[in-house]
Amino acid sequence: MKLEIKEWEEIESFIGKEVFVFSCNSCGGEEIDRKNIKIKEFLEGHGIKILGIINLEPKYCNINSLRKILEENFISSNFVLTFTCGGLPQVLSSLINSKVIPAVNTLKIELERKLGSFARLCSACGECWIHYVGNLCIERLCPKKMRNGPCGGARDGYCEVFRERICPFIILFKNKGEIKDIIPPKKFSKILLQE
Amino acid sequence: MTFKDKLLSGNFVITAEVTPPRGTNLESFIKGSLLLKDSLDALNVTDFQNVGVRITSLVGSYLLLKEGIEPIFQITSRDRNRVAIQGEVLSAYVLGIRNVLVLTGDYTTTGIMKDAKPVFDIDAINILQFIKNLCEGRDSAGKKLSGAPEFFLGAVFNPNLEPLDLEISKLERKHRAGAEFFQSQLFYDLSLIERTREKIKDWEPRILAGVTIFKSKEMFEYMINKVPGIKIPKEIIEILEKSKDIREKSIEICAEFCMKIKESKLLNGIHFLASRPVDILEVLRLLKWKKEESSNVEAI
Ligand code: SF4
Repeated sequence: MKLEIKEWEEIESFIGKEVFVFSCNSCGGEEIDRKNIKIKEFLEGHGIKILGIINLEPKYCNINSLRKILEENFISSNFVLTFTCGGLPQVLSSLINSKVIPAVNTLKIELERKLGSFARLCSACGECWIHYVGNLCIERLCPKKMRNGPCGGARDGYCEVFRERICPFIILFKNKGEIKDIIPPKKFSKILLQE
Repeated sequence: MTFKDKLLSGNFVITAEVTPPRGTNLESFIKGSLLLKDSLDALNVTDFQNVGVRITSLVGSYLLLKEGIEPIFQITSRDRNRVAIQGEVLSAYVLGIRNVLVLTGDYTTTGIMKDAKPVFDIDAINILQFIKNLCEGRDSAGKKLSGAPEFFLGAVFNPNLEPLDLEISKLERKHRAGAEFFQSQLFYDLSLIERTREKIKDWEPRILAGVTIFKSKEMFEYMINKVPGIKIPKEIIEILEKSKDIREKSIEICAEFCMKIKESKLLNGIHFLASRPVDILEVLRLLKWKKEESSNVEAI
């Protein structure tokens, strides 16, 4: 799995001065100690205090293990940054009360490696934007990959294309209320340039 | 007066959508559009409606202009990426087209050519932003244009969407992104517009009400079951299902609703969706409406 840390400007506005961190070995793609040194440098370089780090090994990357790990090792914090693929922050946000923000973009998932189970939830779209939309992965849930709200084709809340599935924007609206910002179009060059 | 001038100066306007031909024979497209020329203020030209191969909306719009009819050029992002959309819109301007209606577009699998690869590079709000940028002289890569277009930009509004507040928030964002007028999806409940107007305090959206005339039972069933985002109230379905002549009944219902729309003062006009020109004329005849002022679009 190939990840890149986001630009600081993108994360900055979402977090406070203290964060809790989730890291992993990128499903075998990175050496975890080395990765965590980079994470510390990145956050401390921007004056952020790390309250704690949980390293999620691929074999614990599943809902039961995560629940247990949270009970045992998680220190409650207003803000959680994940340096994992986009799967974990989708799951985490429904398990804890913190604001969970993906701090990396997933550029590529190599299928030949043994993947943690949350990797299946990540679209590896190169520009993770779930934190703008209530930690729902629109890339995965919306066939039209709408950036700014439902397409208008939904009927009684169900998707125009998959008629048995609730449109994610309707879930988002019910959970979070109105969205005011306009999200700019996706930058496709990131994934297109992955070998 | 142009469609834009009429709408902005508070006139009650009437538009309808027309669909370019599937094939090279233009006759019925031109004939049908000409029928509407003197009674309507502008005609929307659909963009590969129902995911079907047709003459493009750009060429369709140009053909209307040549006949002295003011077109509203529809563009979606289902079949074109951001490069093609911006290029198409610039081309429209040089051909004399001034009104653009931006839509995301229905999904490929809901229409005829189900096996096509859907594009959806950008959504309607992002298209609006890009066109607004073009009007300010730059493309979406930041390249400076030699000569910028000027458009009257519109978008769609679906009052049937639940929760309505979500659609209203989209209406506001579409407006911020550049939309100056809205054409609605087919709906039958005026209180939805009332709620919309109550919610939006600091500006007044120009909304044209989407109405339709069901020309046959097949079309009626198709609209209920297949067209995304449409909701027809039970009472109307019952009345139409019971009626001997669905077209006739539908014209009557449509005319009644148009009258209610105008009297309510909640909307700025009517937009006929998927209706035959002869049926539209029939509704207008029942209503005894005259075009408020003749258009000054001249044949080119
Ligand atoms: S209904 Fe919702 S999920 Fe389905 S295509 Fe439209 S925006 Fe996407």
